[in-house]
Amino acid sequence: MSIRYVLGRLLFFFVVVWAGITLIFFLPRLAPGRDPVRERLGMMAAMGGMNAENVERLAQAYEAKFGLDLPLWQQYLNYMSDIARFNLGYSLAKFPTRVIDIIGPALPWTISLLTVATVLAFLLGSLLGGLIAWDGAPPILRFLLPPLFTFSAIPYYLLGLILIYLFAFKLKWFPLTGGSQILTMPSVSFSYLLELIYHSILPALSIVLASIGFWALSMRGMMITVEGEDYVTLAEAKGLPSGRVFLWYAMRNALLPQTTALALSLGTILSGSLLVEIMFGYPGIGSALFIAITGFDYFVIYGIVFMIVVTIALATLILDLIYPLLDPRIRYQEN
Amino acid sequence: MDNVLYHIRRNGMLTAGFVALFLMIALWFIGYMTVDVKQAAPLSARPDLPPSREFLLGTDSAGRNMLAVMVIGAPATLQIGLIAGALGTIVGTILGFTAGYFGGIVDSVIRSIADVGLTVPALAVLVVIASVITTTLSPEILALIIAGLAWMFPTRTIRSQVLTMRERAYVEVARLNGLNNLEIIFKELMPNLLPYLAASFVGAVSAAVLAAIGLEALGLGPQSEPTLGMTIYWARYYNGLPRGMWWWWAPPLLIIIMLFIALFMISAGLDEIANPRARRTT
Amino acid sequence: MTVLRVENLRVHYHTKDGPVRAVENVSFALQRGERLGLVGESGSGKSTMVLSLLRMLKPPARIESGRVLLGDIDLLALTDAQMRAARFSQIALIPQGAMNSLNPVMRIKTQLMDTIRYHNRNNRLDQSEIMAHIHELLEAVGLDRSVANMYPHELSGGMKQRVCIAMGISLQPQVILADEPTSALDVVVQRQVMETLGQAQEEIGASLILVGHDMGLMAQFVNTIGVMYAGKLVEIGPVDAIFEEPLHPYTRLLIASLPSLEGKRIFRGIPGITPSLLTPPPGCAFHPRCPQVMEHCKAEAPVLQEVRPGRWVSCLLY
Repeated sequence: MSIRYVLGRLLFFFVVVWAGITLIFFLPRLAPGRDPVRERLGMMAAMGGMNAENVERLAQAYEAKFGLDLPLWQQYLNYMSDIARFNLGYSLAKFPTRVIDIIGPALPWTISLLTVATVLAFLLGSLLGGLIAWDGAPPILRFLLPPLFTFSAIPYYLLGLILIYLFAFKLKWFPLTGGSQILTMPSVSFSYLLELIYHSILPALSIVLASIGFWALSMRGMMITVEGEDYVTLAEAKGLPSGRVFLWYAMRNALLPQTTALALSLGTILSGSLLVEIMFGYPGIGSALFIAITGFDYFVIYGIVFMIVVTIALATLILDLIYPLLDPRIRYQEN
Repeated sequence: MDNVLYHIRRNGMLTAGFVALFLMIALWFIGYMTVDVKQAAPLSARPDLPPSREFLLGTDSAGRNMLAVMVIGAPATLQIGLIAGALGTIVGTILGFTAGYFGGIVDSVIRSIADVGLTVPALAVLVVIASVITTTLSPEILALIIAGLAWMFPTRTIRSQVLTMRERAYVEVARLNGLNNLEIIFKELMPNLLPYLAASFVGAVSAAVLAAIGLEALGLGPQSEPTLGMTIYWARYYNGLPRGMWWWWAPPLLIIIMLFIALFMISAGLDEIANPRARRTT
Repeated sequence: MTVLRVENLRVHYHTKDGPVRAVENVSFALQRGERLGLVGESGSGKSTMVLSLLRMLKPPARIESGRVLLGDIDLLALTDAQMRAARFSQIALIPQGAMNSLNPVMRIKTQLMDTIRYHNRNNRLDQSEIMAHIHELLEAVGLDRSVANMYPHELSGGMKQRVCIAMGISLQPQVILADEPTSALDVVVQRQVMETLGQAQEEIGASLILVGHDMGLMAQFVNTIGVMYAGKLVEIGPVDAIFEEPLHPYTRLLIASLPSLEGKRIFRGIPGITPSLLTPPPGCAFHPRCPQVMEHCKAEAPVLQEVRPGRWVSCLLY
């Protein structure tokens, strides 16, 4: 892998994160004549209570960094330097909890659900799509196309709503809400793990079901193109077993554009799974965002949006760095 | 026109998509003619009624007639998608053409911005905007905000199409014949790109509806108007699901799903026209 | 000794509008070590023919009837598994599009190894022997053994085609089918690759069918020429005799359209277009373009017959 390629991808990572921070900073300030954070702080100070003194200090700190007397670029620099140190501020609704302490515990839930569901859907969907396009596969697979097609058109969380209604509300096979029983203390035990899995089956299923069709359909498209390539014809002419031709000549090449598509869809996938969390009351970033929006908790909203941008940029970077291992043409390009 | 009809006749996907869309519009029209849309406002009827002869889709906890809500909400949701999709496609087409046709620095700048913009999740950006102006948000403003993020994907697709077409012989011939850039774009490239543009537009509408109902599911939609997404949000907010009030959330959900499937079929059908290679004889 | 005998081969493409007769009643025999050149315009059925000999046709194409005898075995009667085993070990293909015939994500050695390993019944060869064989093969086609570790995109077009030749001879087949193997290469490289192909074929004692449309290339390379028109073999005979005195009017036009060294002839193409194979003209399919057309050509279809010793032609003039 050439150094130039790696540096290029790293640069892209930082530009994406920078663009995200910049948008988070400027977009709210475009709203004419009002700063929702200042309004909110004013409201909190007016309400008084136990934390009045702390709120006062928070408001002062905010004025010092983002006060109206400061030029915009100064505020922007202050913001950048805060973010660079992962200083995301305090929750306005649950003051004096720090934003990072709200995001931190939620992150593992989101990442584990998202990763497992996406990897599963991508692999199964690609395999299925490849088989549907392959002449040697059982023709019965073609009957899967209409349901796959239908599922892929439904947003994850709406499918989730249907699953909740059927399997949690009607049949009572799965819990209606939550990531674990309310009264269970987290522990490193097999029974706790089982409980986690039990609670995550429906949310995961709604992501997998809704996205498997997308991957299957796009893989089918790629395979139809790849099957027409001369190297697949030659592989067949060589007398290789059809399994070998399918996996290592056709699928292997069709997976390249498929991986690019995965990198491009990461944002949509993440957004969709955040909404799934909300439907299921699953204690991840999505639910935290929902609570923050309901409570006008701006620092938490901005903090979560920042984390979302960083997560996507990081996942994109990882995929970009894996890609040359799949495609030798990129690996040797600069050498 | 003949050409369009020909494709519709032999392209099952496209036909099915249009038929589904037409059916939905017809259903909506019947509803519009028979239902008093004023009942979409709260306190128009007794709350929490299951479907009955009087209220075919029941009422919600705020006393809205759900059928009236659907008649009002469905076009509102589609309108957001159409406005955002159209603006996104127009801007995307202009930028994609500029980048693909002229190349060089212009291309690098446009492509980089679109790539970065595509990587930053639209929903995250929308959340930041909508959380600030939530109290004054109307469907039209929501559409404009979404349009601001809907141009990047069309830009990307159109750009790559223009890039491949630019090298084709007929463009070269046109240039040798003394046609200028604008003439080449409108006389030679545009007609060939039409199926792509149409597919881009349908894809953008679909993505915009998805973004809109996503924001609404977060509670960031128009608070005063009953769009489909907001109806689902309220149903969830007031525990419509555990209370067994399926008539609250299921109708908007089914309409959204039908809409997505119809749009998906149309865009797949258009794709088949645009990329004949994806056609399958067997 | 006859290695390959094709008898009355018919291949149709089944379309909505009816069967397209891509190969119609083609028969010929190939002797051991012989080089047969099949020429014809695109759409004359020559590439379909190659694929049907390997039984690689996909629907809607179907072999309707005929026999393909390799020694005593009818390839068309084999089971799918037997046919797979016969591919490359008995009858090998050197493909048309050298630029795209190698898997872009696989090293050359893996692609060569694939061919050998899956025909290596009972594991007669171990890994190091296979590797040694691969190095031998690469050197036999004029490549460095370091090519084994490369990926296709690191090779030039000529090198890729040499790899394909190495692949084709790796199992020492009796018959090699070369489908326009050099059409994507420039003229100088073309000549070198053809020489390599010829040497490799002679070394393993295989027979060769070279498919192409370049009469000039054929003249220098093959022993026998078969001319195809509209899915039919219209003339077949020794290369010298055919160039000296082509019998079929179509062959005559093909040779006349060659640029010649001494003459300053004006280049002439063959007027008219290739006929539709869906609705071929009645009688002789060539009659609409034939300069020597006679009235009964439009009704009566000629058959391939030996009009002189070793000279077979399908034309009502004889």
